[in-house]
Amino acid sequence: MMDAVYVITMLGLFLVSVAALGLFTRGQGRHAGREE
Amino acid sequence: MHAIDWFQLALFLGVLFLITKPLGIHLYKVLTPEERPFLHKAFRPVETLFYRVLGVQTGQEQTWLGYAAAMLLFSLVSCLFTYAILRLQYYLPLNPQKFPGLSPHLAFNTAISFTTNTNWQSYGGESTLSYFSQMVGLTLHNYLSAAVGIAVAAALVRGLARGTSKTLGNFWVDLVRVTLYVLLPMCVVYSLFLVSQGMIQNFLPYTTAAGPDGFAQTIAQGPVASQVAIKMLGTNGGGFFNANAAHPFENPNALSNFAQMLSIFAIGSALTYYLGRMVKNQKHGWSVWAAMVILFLVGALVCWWAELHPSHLLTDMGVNPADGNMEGKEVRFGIFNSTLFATITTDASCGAVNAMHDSFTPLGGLVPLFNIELGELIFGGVGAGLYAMIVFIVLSVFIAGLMVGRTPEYLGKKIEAYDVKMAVLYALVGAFSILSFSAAGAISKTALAGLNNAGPHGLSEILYAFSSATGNNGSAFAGLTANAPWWDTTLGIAMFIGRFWMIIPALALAGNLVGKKIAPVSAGSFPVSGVTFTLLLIGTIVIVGGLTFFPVLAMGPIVEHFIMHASGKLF
Repeated sequence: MMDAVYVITMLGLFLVSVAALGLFTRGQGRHAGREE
Repeated sequence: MHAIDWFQLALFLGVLFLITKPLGIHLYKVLTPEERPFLHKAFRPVETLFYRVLGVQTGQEQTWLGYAAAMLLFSLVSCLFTYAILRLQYYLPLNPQKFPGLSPHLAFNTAISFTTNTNWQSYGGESTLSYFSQMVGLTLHNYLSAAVGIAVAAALVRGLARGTSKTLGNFWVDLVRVTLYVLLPMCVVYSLFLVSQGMIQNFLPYTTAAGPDGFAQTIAQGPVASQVAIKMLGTNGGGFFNANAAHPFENPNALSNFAQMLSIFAIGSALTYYLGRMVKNQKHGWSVWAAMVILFLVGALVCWWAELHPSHLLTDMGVNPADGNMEGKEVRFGIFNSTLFATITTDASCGAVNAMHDSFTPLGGLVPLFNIELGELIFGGVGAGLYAMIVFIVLSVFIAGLMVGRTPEYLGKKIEAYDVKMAVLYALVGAFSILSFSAAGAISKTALAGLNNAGPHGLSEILYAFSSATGNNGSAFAGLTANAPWWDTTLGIAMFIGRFWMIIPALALAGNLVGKKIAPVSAGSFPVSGVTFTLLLIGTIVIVGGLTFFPVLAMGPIVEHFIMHASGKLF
């Protein structure tokens, strides 16, 4: 039972990290692009 | 402060300086796939075999998103792999002591700890882990987590060095080449050297012997040298034995101690040369190196001085003032080598210890704590130190740009809103994790049940634990019983945040920078070498670190220092 809790916690932490990748893509290069 | 100690400090810096360039050139060749590094002929077939087995297209580079996703996927799989080994170790080979599997919370903490290059240990290695767990579950991560750190640093440097590109390299190629051409060969030679100094390397069951007082004692053994070599070189820090580098089997003599300290800084130092080489501005690399050396020296001297001038409480008990504060220190190493080791291990994100930081004077203990909170960018964790330093350089040139009213620019790349946001996010994530978890620990009854000290020293214990976890350092103040569900879980999450939630903004920064063109150097360019730049960088690091953590440090070690001297009260 506790194994499931900790494995899901690990998966959750990694999933949030992957979501952050998408979040940080937004806005990238916006300023440089406008200048050019 | 004896002359021999000053000589050793000078020797340490001299040797570090001498190895920086050759090792930096080697790193440049390893991290540039078109180059042929030392041992290329011998290892090329193995390298190719890895790519075939893994299905890696070596010519195919990744964007920052692809690079980060590969790094996360690799870390997830290896983390789950280690969790399984630790839970199942009773059924696995090389377990002569028949140790049972670790509890779920301890396995969670340990798996994340080694995946993140932290090596926080809520257990005693010789009383908890089988040889299989130590070698396959943990030492494997010592290599791979170190290689991941170097790979991420290389990606960020490529982001600076390349003009209007989209890609940062190939994560799998970097991982394989760093492991194969840097870490493995260096560790083979280093392990043999350590064995020659008296370090053990065997698979024997523990020996029972009669101690001097007649009682039977168990002498733990095992494959120590092979783990210690990478533990130091990869700035991992996890000891084979609970006493870590204070144990005579894990640190036999003065020469092994010197080599271990040097190897903690070696790759971090060489990476500054790699930075200079990549951006074709070697003076910049050396200026970053100089900033690291200055910050290192200030910390080392303060810590050394503090331990040589202990409280009157010790001298009142008859301790010779000239002996300083020897509590918690190995007589073999003395004050200087204990404080130097403590400074180095926390400047880098190593975390190996040859003395108990908890027993340092309040100001002596403040130095390792503050080093970690600065972001471990003084040579730092392998790779992690360099990408942390580059983030602070971005902040420095942004602040300098604001001061003189020019568009901030770093190595010809304009620093714009997105870049500064990522740099600030990087700095805030660490502070948020350390301060939030420490606050939670200070008010949680469950957490406080594991605390063995009261008052400001108790706060320092909590603060050190979460600083060490978030900073991926792994060393500890010893007054905390951390192997409990609350501590194992929260420290595990803090280690994860401190590693991956800081790498992601660093790679996002790299991904944004790599798309920008490099403007030629002009009279209006901000100089990124020389005294002014070095001092600006040091100032930014100290002010950001100092201002963020000064309030909590004032309530911990600083107030403890004044209470101890004013009223003689200990905590």
